[in-house]
Amino acid sequence: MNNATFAQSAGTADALRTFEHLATLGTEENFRKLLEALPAAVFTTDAEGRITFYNRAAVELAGREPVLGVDNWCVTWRLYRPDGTLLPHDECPMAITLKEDRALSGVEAIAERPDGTRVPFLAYPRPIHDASGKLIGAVKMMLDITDRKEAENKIRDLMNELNHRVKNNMQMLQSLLGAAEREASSAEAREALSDAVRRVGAMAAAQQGMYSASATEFEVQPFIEALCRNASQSFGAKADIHIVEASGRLHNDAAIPVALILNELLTNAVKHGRAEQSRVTISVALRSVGSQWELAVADDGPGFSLGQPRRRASGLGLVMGLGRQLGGTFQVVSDKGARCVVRFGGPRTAE
Amino acid sequence: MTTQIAPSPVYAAETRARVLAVEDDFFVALEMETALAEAGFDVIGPAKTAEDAERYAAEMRPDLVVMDIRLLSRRDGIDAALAIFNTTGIRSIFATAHDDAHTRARAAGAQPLGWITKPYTMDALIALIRRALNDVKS
Repeated sequence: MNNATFAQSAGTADALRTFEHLATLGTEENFRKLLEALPAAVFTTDAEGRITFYNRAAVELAGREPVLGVDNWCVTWRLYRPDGTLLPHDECPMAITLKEDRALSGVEAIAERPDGTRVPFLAYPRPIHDASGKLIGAVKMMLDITDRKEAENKIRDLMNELNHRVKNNMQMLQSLLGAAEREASSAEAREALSDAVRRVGAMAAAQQGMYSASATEFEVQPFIEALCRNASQSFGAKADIHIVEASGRLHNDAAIPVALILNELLTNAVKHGRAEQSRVTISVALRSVGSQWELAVADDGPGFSLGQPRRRASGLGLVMGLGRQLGGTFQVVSDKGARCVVRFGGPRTAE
Repeated sequence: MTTQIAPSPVYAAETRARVLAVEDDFFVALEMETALAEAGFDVIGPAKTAEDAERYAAEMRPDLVVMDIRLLSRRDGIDAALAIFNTTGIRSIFATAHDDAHTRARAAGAQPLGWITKPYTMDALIALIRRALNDVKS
């Protein structure tokens, strides 16, 4: 096999397979030639971790010429973990392979060259045994993943840009509705527009919290806090909102429906829970109970019973509709105020 | 003879706080201008670029600035806030969708009066401006 065909087949897994296959065929001399020709960085050590061989690609990746018989465990000058903390050479993947006599695949680390530049790479250290099965050394391949890391950074930048634009558009939407509310002459129109502003605010609050835990999940606590803040800003002195419990993580799919449900329940408590009082006290809890989630909103108002809501796009009609979207149930208990409970979803937590 | 104590319109006008609005989005700027005026502030601007913001601040000496970060100019709102603070000592409230550690670190030199993350309601902005004005006065 010549270098050209080798280079063509030198993808991550391909290179490893080809290399392992050819390594079983040749003599020691052929084996070394083969390693030298490999476009991936490769080096070997004896059983004590002293470096016995390295190829050109290893020198390029490390940015230095290793010293045979002196350098231990790794050809690199300095190593870091993916989180940026220093990785001592005697704890590096190669050291683990030799100390524990086991192969590792695709361990991510960052090599620092003497000139200060850093190269993210994946390590594939494998133990080498003699005919009797005794550990006599190890071989390690290192794959430069700079391109992949750059692509990941680009994706992150794009996500940030997109998120920024979504937030800006929501601000614009909220401003449009807010301006319409201010200019409306009838009380009914003003109230409807004020409700719409609050709903957009709730969606925006949900958007803020999304992706906080991972690409698919969000942290419940800051999410509930942002929603309650949105409602508090809108209702001012009319409502005193307390968060009793909010913990765990929820799937992103639940963010907007839960945000709108909570917003409607808070609005409902302020509109119907105040009776003669000037201020209603509301407590909010979102918790996982067994395999389900439970959203509870309780107020100290006169309470109400759940009839058939007249409207489906607002108030409790909206709660019921969105509750169905989540595959959930809705229940109202009136006892020293109203307590509205929405139960939904399976155990979609991170655990 | 009865003595009538007339209200003092001059005095009332003088106590209105003056706020420079820096916001490049038309709808948001429009709503901000209306809402702040209704809340009793004198609104300067809205400025749409860093350069306009700096000029208005230097000429009109507002009590504080409400500063968007991404603007129509090459220089952003943090550049403008830093320049305004360094030349006039006037501080800013940052009202923006950018709310990360890096952005906050860049803005630290302008001694921000507060941060409000887009999308926000005008009520929330007004509440923050009132708190910030107390900080500025004390």
